[in-house]
Amino acid sequence: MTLRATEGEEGSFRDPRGRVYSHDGRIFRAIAPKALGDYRWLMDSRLYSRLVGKRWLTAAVEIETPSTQTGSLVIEHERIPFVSYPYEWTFSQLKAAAVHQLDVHLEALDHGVTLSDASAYNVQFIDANPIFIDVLSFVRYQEGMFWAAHRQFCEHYLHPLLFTAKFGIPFNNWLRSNMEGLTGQDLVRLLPLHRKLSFRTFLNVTLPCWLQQFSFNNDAAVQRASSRYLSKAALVFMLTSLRDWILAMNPKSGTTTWGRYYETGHNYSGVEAEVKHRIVSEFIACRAPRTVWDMGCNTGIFSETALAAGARRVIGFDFDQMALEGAYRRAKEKKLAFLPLFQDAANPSPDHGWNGAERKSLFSRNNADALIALAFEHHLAIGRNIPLDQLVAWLVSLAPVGLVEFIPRGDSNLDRLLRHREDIFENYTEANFRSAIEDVAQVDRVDVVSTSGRKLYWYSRRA
Amino acid sequence: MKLRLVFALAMIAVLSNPAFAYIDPGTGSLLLQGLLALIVGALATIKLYWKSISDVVARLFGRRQRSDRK
Repeated sequence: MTLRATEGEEGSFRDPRGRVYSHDGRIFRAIAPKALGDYRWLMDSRLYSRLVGKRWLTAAVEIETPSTQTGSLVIEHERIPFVSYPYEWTFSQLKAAAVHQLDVHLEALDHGVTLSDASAYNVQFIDANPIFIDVLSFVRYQEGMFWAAHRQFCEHYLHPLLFTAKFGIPFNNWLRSNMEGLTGQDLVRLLPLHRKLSFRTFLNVTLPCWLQQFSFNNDAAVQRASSRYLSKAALVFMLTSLRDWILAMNPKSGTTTWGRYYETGHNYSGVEAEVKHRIVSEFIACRAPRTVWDMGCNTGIFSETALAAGARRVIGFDFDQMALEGAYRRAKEKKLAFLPLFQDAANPSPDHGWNGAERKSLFSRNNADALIALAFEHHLAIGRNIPLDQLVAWLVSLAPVGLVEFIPRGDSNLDRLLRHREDIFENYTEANFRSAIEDVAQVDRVDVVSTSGRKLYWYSRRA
Repeated sequence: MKLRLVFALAMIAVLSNPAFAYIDPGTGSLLLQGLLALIVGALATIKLYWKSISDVVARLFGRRQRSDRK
């Protein structure tokens, strides 16, 4: 097999010991000769089968023996249903990924293996479950070695979690701007003195930050420190104490408008909600999609209905953190094939990072066979001034078939969005909504779902 | 001079850990772990000599007890 450079995944350049390629929807990794020793060590130890058996690590099969030309070994990885990034996760998801990273490391140490990095991009989610994806992170452990990735662990996991836990501000905007995470220097500058000096924060954040400032131009001190012998017990202590600390963390509490949208007052009577669930079920049964995107998934109540009606997997998007926490809890507790993610539809994840290609945009990761967007469009068309025709074209571009709810004027939820502002939306009419769909797709069916006149439009995109 | 350079390079080759290969561990993190290694090392040394230390302490304590009785 020849892996062309053009098929190389742009996000895999950091570690020169291997490169990831995608080819015909399959994922391959070329392992350079200098990494073969560690790779063989991993495979021959019982660690690999143990981690794969527990679904802690993605499985891999060897495709080709080391080629005589390059000396590289090619393996094929199992494919992750939907690749997501830390800046699309909720607090609980980043926390689960952090604990997973530490658990994999602790298990590895039991088998004489350590992890060479601690990038949050090496953890993915299959539904609610974190899974480690990088076999080249595993390197042979010699007692005495330092934890080289301690700083990376802090920047990718610990600091963002602390930031949200202490300030109640979601880490997503920060992580989306900075692929390296949140630095200790930035976090220490933000923390008030009593937080800087609280025991665990001092040891893990403030002290390394101060030491770094102190060691500027003091290479001898760094040399002396790094030649010391860190016993395995000390390393395990570092990992387990971080694990305990992170497990006890929670986001600083705050209530949002939608967190309890479906539990408290909303715009539907019980009967109307039932009608909506029934139509979602009919839509899924009729279209039989594998993957559904639920735009504005809230706590995942309709995602769950879609799964019950036969959808194989749902990826949900919302920008309300508390609603997403509820959705993640739903997925986890009910073991649903459902992955809720943070996304602002008015500013979706772009292609960015090195060369503008390291991390992929939401659109280029699109794998939806069908889309549901319930009580969604008015938040963008009215709340964010997105022109109705552009919004509809964007939604239709995401999936070949879909179910989109139109909220008419007079609906109390829509009126609430207009309460404090001038109504500049003369184009916001059902006729325009319908014609915007008809520009790019065909309207297959329309169902009225509330007395206020909300309607569910079934579309199928023109080929 | 040249010899010293060769020696220094050889030491770097021997001492540098393979896990340090492709990400920068950061000086703050290295110093923190160096400190931890030092503390754990000191504790281990104390533990190693604990028997003799405790014997010495016990002896001192015992002597004092005896002298107390007197």
